[in-house]
Amino acid sequence: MTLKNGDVPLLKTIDDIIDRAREISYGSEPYCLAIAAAHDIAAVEAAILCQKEGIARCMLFGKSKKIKSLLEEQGATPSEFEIVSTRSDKESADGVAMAASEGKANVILKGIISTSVLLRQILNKDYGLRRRGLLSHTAILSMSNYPKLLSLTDGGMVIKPTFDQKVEIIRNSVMVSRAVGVEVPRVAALSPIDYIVQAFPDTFEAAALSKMAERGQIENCIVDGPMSLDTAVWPPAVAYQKIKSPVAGQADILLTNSIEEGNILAKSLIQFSEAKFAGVIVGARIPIALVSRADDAYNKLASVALSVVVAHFIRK
Amino acid sequence: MKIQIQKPIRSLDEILALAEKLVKQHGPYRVVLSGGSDAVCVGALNLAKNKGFVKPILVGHRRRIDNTFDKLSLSQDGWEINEDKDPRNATINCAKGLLNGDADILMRGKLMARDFIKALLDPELRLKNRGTLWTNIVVVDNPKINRLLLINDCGIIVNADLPMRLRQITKVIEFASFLGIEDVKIALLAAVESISPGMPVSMEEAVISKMCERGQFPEGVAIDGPLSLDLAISPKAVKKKGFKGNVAGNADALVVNNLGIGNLLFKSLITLCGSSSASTVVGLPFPVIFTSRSESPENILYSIAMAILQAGPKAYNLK
Repeated sequence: MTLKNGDVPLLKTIDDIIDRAREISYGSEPYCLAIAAAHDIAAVEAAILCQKEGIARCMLFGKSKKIKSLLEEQGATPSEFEIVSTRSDKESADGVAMAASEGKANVILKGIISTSVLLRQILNKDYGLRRRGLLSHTAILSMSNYPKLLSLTDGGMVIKPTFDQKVEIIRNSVMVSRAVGVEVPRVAALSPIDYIVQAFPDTFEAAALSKMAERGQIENCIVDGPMSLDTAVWPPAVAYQKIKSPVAGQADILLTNSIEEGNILAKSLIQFSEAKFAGVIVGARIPIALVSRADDAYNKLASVALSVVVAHFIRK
Repeated sequence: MKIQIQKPIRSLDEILALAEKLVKQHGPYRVVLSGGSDAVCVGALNLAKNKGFVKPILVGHRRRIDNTFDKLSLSQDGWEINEDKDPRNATINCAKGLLNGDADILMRGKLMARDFIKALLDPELRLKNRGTLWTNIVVVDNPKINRLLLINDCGIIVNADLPMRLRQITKVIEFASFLGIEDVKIALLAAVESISPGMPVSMEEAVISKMCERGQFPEGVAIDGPLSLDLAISPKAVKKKGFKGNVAGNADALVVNNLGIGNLLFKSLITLCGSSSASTVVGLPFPVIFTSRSESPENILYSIAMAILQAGPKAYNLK
């Protein structure tokens, strides 16, 4: 798929992403969010916020009675939401996949349903939502001591990516970065050190990934690695190391080597640096937002907003 | 001689204050820097020297060391400088000096962590036999948390299997106790708190938690895992998820299973998260200062202070 970046504005904060989603959904027809297994407080909260903030209209699939009572508990009017009653998680997943495939829904939010059940239906050939590539997770963080948005991948989906999967993960994340207006994102393939050493096979892969991008095998981005975190995002470390790299000190995307690395790094920045964040699964024809029970309302909204921005970008 | 710390140390400034006390009683400690031309380490030693903490000894490439002093506009008065161009040899000689009692503390300068450790493994030194484990512990002080956080391992052990992690945990318990943290709460970090065969780490961590439950670790120690980072340290996240456990939200120590994770966690804390840190390698017969190049001289001062505490009251100083 070739994507034209044309008129995508550069977004610098999570607030910008939310504003941009509102703008996209404002025009002729609001974007529609389909929630799979919405009978859960986190999902219902997200739905209420999305409609209130004008990010997306919501279709809630799941146990309708529970959904209605949760909506009422939160002070919302159930009739303002489209609720589709389903008897099982699989039926909910089928429902959202069908809605997406018919073009009724533009983004999907995972409710209280296991990721594998949801993805199995979304990737079912019958719905035509599948693309050739891999599904992977990108988290976008915004924090006071970094001057731009920072993407982290993959701390939520692929447990231990193979080399080929890393290529796909970069492609997916580059797409997300381009959707938030970074025309040629700078990707750092992380490792504990900046050199290629045998003790860390990840450093070989990082080196090969950089070269692949240089040869045009991974498009629309600059990849450099192996690179340690400080070199990637901390200008004083770059000065000290005297590393010459178009990525060092100004990375847009950080590629980690395992779900633990990605997850723990993201959570470190969220917990200790009060980073705001949004997360999305891309790789299918439709983006899937993931929110956790522990996320606050703002971050739930942010994840759906990011999905809307990505959906808009894919559509163009 | 070991110093006895009664009350848990809760900040790096307390470590600095304790080191100051020791120095007042025993005079400056002799720190030998292998790879002596490292500008950040020399800067840190200069800070420590001005406070009367250390008597620095630099070993390395003479011309490069001179360049570093020029660049920092420092005088070489009061610095002992020994020429040894080969970094491996230099490190081995530094270690010999420490074993002979010619110095108190070893510090890594301008050479790669791997090469530094490899040099110390030289059979001639007989520093390591089958029973000993060397592991890196970083003590982090973050303004968001009212206690110190220990992270293990951020720089030495590449991949730890279950037996290795048990040995690491023992070292962490010992080190926590050295810092006065007796009933240490240890979180075994993972991406999520659920156990699944698809993530072998989560299985190992479940096993270790169970061992702790069965009393296979010292009394009072609490170990839980797999735990995600937010569940380990944030009481707010624990409450929101309705999670139950005796470590969650209050972990004193975070133990990871590979260096990739530890390194990222540590570097994120000291770069983008505004933390201070002190870093060491435990398991050797002398204190080792093991810092990262993303640290400032001010930050490295904490590592120097911690090493002084580890060295404890020295007999030679009492003369």
